[in-house]
Amino acid sequence: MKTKNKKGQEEMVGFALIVIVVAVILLIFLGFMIKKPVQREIESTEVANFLDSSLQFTSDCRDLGNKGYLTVSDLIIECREQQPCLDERDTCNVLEEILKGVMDNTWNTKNNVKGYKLEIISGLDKEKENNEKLLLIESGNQTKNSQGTSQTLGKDTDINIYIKVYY
Amino acid sequence: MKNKKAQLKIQQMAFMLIAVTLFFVLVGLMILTIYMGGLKDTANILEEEKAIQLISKLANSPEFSCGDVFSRTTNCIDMDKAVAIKGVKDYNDFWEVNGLTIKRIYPQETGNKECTLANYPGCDKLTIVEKSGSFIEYSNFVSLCRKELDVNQEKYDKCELGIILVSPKEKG
Repeated sequence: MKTKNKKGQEEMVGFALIVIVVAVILLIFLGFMIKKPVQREIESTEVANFLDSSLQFTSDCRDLGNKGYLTVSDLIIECREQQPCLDERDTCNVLEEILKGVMDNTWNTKNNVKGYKLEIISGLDKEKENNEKLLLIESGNQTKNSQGTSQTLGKDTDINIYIKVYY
Repeated sequence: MKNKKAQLKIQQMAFMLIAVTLFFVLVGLMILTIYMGGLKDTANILEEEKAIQLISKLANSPEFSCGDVFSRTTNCIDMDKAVAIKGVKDYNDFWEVNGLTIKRIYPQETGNKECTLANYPGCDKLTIVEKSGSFIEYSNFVSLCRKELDVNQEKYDKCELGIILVSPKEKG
């Protein structure tokens, strides 16, 4: 009777051990699965083409030299130099108005887009702390899934443009 | 009695082996599902990127591209050329697409009014190829450039933000 009881106990301990080992393996596996998808940011051709095309947009602001109408990329440089338009409008205001319209008309009309962020920064500091922020336009929610791109304006400038679209 | 006990033990062992095998099969299936899900996402992204590249190629074709006329050359559509192509039957099957439309995104002034030679540039949408049926549509952002006259009646380049929508012909 006593040996039968002991054998039963041994089997129970064995079973418990197997359960524990399986549970530990499952926990480790689950841990890996949960840890992996923290943030997903994709460099997107679509957003890159959008930025590229937006920079070529012709504004109704003439430059002081009366050479012609400024494009968005010209406006960014004039805004940093604090140069007004020929009709004395502030180039930074014109730039903001155009980019807000462009961003809203493009991304706010898409069903799966939750929000966007556009930043124009002057300076070479990668951490962006010591740089001058020329413009920031944000809308909607900033989720964990995003597509983005960045571009340096021209070859001789330190102006960088960052765009993120949140899905 | 001893035989029965041994049989019971063998049965126990068999059950245990089945349970362990089932467990590993389930875990394997789970890993496979997650891995395959990732592959499907990657395939979709790649397909979209491929379509965007095809559209870029189309936008940079001589029939649409800005060439040396405007200050930029890539992803730029010369709207003066594009509007002239509209209605030319020879171009219906030229690009092997089911649909080809150019739309102005900003500034939108006419609420998607279709362009004709009569109302251009006071319009927002230019349909070049339109075949009946429902097709998958891919899009890419482009600059829509044209020559404009300023207040002094001098020509200047005016570029706006647009999108080119293409429905490629399915192969096979």
